[in-house]
Amino acid sequence: MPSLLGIATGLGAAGSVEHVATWVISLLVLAAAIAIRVAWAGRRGNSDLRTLLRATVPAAWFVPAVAIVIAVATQASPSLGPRQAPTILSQPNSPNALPSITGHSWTSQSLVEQDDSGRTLVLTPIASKPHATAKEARQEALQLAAMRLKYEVERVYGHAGDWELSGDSLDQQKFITNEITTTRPYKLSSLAPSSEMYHCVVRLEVSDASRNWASGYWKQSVGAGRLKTIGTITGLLCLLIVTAHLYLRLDIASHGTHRGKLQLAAVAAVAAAGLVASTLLSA
Amino acid sequence: MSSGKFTFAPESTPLAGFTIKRGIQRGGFGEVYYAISDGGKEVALKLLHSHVEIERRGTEQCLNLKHPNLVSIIDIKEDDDGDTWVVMEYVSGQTLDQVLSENYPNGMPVDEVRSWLDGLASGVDYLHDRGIVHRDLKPQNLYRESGYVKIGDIGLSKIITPSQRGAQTESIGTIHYMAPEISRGEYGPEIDVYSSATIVYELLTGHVPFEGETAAEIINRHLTDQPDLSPLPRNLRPVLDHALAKDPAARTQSLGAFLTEFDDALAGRTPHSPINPPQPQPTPEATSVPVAQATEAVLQAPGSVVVVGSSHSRPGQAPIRRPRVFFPEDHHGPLAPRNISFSQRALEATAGMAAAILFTGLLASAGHLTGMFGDSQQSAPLTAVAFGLTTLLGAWALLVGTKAWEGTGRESLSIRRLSLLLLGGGVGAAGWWLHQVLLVNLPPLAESQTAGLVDSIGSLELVRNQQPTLAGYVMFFALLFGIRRWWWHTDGFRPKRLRVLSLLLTVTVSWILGLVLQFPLAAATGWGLGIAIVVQLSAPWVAPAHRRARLQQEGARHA
Repeated sequence: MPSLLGIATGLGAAGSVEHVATWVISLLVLAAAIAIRVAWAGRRGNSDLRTLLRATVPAAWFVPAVAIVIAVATQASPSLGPRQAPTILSQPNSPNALPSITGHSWTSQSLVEQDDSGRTLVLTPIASKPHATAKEARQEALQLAAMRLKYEVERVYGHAGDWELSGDSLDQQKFITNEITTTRPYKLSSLAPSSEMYHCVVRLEVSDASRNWASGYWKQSVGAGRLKTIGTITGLLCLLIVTAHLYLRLDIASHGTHRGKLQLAAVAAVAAAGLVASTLLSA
Repeated sequence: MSSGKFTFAPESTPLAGFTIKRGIQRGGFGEVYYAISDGGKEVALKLLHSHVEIERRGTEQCLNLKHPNLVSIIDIKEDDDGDTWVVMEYVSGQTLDQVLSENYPNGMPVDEVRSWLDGLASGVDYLHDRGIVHRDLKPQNLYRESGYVKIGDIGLSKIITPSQRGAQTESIGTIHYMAPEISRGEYGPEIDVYSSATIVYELLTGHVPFEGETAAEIINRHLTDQPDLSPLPRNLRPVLDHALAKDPAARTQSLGAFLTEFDDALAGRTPHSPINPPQPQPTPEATSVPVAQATEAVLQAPGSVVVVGSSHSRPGQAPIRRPRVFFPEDHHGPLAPRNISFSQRALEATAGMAAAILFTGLLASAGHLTGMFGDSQQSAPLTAVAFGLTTLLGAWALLVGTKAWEGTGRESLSIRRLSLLLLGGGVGAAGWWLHQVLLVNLPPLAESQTAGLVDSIGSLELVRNQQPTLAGYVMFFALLFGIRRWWWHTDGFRPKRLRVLSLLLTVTVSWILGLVLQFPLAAATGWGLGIAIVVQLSAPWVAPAHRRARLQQEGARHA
């Protein structure tokens, strides 16, 4: 995301669409501001062109200030896509065949149950590929379980932004209801000697509770970043309003004596804040 | 003071020999301009708009009056278009209304009151001696310039003759200062005594003796209530009681007598004449009919002009035609017509918007700290921010939307509602977007919301998966903004800064909308209450005591 400074100096690789949108919106704001001011002046009986134009000038400073805010908002907009409506996503296939482990029937099939409050939960086994060590096998099984849970969150709440749910975060969670690691002899080729390889199978609980737990990570990673972006834009907007108020207050108090200086100061303040906001967003 | 633009712009010369510099006042019967003659004399030019002949006749009678306490009428002229202009002495001093509002909102010192009364009595007695009743004495018509009290607007004055007393005339008066017998069509000099006594009462206490929410209530009180004299200095109570008598025959007979009684009371002397004659009880024909008629008229005509009166005769008199009396319905309320400049609107709107940031922050923080948004470390802050930002956007939209139409009177009510409806739709869309972007879900629907209520409009779903859709948000906020009279929350002339009743009403409307549109009730009432609190606390408010001064300032700025 190029910063406003980059755009202004031509150093950033800003998309042309962003530029066009900024310019279009800025020009529309300019046109609207002039139209409102002229209409207001006309309403008060001042209808000759010179009077109307003179009445328009005091409002003109607001246009570059608003344009700066719009430019920053446009810069941030790609990261602020709303949630897409939940759709039927393709379930991530477990690439690994479920091993049948004697005495552990849960490793070979999913089970649909109801929790204490009568809500449905699915207990599904997820198996790792064969690994040289038990630790590696377990890590893969947990990672696959995390992927499955991420899919469940997006299936229910919709997709928004890029986020990750690590297998490590599932470790020691109550949503892994069962876990078993076994060894099996594997031969890489007919010539090679067979060796023991480790399989890990975990049983994941897919329920409201596990989805809520996982959605916390979703909100933490995606939401926090967006919160920062929206906070920055809102702060800039608030500054624009406070600046406009102070400008009007001082202008009225000084009977327009220092109007030009006040307009310059107001635009400078908003521009400075815009550059800071843009830099923050591009960081 | 009235709203609307003036016919002539500064530097125009509609009347030969005079250059208009600015408009001063605009009323139902004309416009008053400050102008300079070709010779350099400052004058006030009054352009007569309506009832020109009546106005002209009244003014002609006053044309040659000369008194230091009266604003002189210099001439009456016609311009090339045949319009009639009254050329008057220009008075640059403050009106009594301004003096009272700015310097003595709780009442003047007695010495100061006495000095105003002195000039008032001198000028009014001069008029009465020549058979003229002013009929519209009020603080806005009294000026002080170079130490002299000046009585203005004597163009409304009418000659007192047996044939004309109570005849068909028209008067524009202010009901707070209007004598009770005016409702019966009686226009004797006693009405000026009553108005002057009302002014003196106001000068001493800071408020008029009879206040009320509506014109009808004030008329009722003038006709039936006894004034509360307890706020007055003890020695002046009998004097004011005498001058405010309901029966003109029992009232102090002249301003000079009123002044004498006033002075006697201050000096602790026994009055020359009994000032507390027994007050006759108002007779049915003197009170009940006009009260009923006045009240009915006010209720039937909710606009700014109320017509009171019909044929009515007193025993022993020939039937007289009751004059029409025009009552401005609401001088100082949210629908009061005002001349608010663009920069003043912008200033007040931005002041409210800046304050809304603070109040919304406090509200959302308080909700977060009290666990209103849940106790999840991940989602509670996001929920608080989404709620707060939606509330802030709603408050900003309302502050801007209502400020744009403030002071435009009743004529703009439809466009106000339409603009607020559209703004509400925009706020709804923004609120939905915020909740999607911040990954926040509203609380689930209550059990009472799941059956038999609207969940779609045509093919447009309002609810999906227990959550309002974009259409649901837009509908809820559009209707909330369009149904409520938000200008009663934000107008500078609203009755109180924070009205609990308005808050409760807004919460009720939000709750009903939540039920109808299947919008989660907790969120619906939360936003209704939050937005109402924020806009009321944030929107600039003018205390009632300062409203007259504000109107004067706005009028001067407008001119």
